Amino acid sequence: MRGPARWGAVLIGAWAIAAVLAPVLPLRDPSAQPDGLVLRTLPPLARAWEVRLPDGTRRYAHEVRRAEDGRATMRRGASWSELPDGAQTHRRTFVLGTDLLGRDLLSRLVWGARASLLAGGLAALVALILGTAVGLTAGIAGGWTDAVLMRITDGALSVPRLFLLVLLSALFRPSLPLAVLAIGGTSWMVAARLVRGEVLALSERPFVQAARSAGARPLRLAALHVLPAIATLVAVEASLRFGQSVLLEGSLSFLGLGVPPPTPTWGGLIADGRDRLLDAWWIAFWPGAALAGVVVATQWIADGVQGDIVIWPREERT
Amino acid sequence: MLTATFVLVEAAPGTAADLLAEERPLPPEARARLEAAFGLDRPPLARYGAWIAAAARGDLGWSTSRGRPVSQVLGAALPATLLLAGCGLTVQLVLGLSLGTLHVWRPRGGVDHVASVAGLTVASVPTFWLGLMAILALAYRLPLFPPSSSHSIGAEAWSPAARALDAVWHAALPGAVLGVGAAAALARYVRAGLLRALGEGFVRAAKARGVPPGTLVVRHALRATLPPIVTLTGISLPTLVSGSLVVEVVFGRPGMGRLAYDAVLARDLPVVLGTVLAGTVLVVAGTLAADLGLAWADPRARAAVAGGG
Repeated sequence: MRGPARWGAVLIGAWAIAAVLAPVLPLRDPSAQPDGLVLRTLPPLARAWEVRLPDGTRRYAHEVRRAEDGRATMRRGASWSELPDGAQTHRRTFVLGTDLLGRDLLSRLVWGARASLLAGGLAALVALILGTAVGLTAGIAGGWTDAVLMRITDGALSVPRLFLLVLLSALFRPSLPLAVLAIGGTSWMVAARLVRGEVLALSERPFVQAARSAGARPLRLAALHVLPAIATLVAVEASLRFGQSVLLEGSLSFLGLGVPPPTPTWGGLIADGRDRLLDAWWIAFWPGAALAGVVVATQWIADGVQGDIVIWPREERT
Repeated sequence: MLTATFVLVEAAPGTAADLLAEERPLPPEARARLEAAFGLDRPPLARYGAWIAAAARGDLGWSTSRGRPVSQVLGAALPATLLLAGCGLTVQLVLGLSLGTLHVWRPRGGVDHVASVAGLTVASVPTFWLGLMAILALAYRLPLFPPSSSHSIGAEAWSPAARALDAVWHAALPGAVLGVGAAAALARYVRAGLLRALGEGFVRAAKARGVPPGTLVVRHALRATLPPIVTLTGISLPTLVSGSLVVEVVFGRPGMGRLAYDAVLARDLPVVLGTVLAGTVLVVAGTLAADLGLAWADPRARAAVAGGG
């Protein structure tokens, strides 16, 4: 793969590995709210004192002072209190800051990648399987099957997708499987059209005509002769579809209609920060940047696979 | 499509009567009266038939959450969405055409490279996040635009011209957010089309005649790249309507997207169906307009239409 495509693959691979390994990575608990007073809306790179008391409990403090005789005091807000003997103090850095409830944003971002990338990936898979099946069937069968399938595809393309998705997600209880099926079930049209067009072009080619005249049945023709020939096209669409599905899931979760809380998702994290843009911009900033990064990476990969740089006309942006 | 929508709403748990009752235990006779008032006591198929028949006459039913006819509710929301989509489309076309032309000025140079990377990035940013960041940067940090709503407080008393200006001012930032992503994709096509057209005979002939470079690009090459741009704009219409949903929620603007969102949360079936219908009609009308635009932009397409094709 060439330059940008390689970087795109590295970025997506890194996110995937981080998402899979999130439980064993040295991250704070993404939903723990250890201290609402000290840790609330810390900006990126802010530091706070972690105090481990002799009985094992953990407290947080704005400031810790040690007197010359070794006695230590800590400040929480405006009040000072004495630390018992044997209390250990460490300075902790919150790389990406914390949210309104004092939850660590770095670990929420990494844990959020799990739901967002899983939902996006599975939805893209559903869309690709559906679209390829429809496109192959239409292209190989031809005749009225083709006509009916393509009218359905055109009809589905002309409905504003987000309206339909919002409707679906609100009618049924939002969940990960619903988000996957809803996004996949409303994103297959581009793949169907691309595959059908390619199949029609291929059916004039000698190797397909030879297979057909040798008596290959439609299913065999599709699976053994046509499908391998359109693999590149499907791979390009797969990459783009993945990015778009992650984006769509983000929109749904942002509206509160995607993967439900308390599971952290990128869209949900952006929604968390929405009301505090003015004094805590970083809460909404990081997940948005992560989403944009993944989508850019999928475009790069698609470009690399395809060989020349084209942004596909994106039929749906959300 | 509408059929599928209706079936889905039917299949979902809970009815408008449940929602109106708000979890309170409802005496059976009161419940029956409610259901009869909304026609919920009839079988689904009969209701579907009645809905389709009424929709054909322009009667979309009664909004259960707002207590007004759906057509009125939709009619009140439509202008705001049309204005927003219009602003989005304007931004998309102006920015897409000018950036694409700028690309060609110095192909494969520094400007070209930076602009294409920036375009790719902007095209990949989620619209709702872009909206939030735009509000933060251009409405609060640098208060150029209003952060939300569709008109200033007290604007009802102003002159029509001032009101119109106020409405556009409020729609400008959300419109830009809505259109900028598609503009980046459009710019790519303009660039590719222009580069191809500049190599063609008629452009080189014009150059040989001594046509200045600016006129050459705008009058000759750009004219030849219009047909795919019109087609692409037609394709981007569902995006524009979908995007308006998120943008309206983010910017707190009244409009069809907000209406759909609120209605879905209130499980207001007639309004939800109405917005899906209206959105689809908007897209189909826009696609038709794009086809007509294509006929205007491409004499060959015009000939095909005139020839009965």
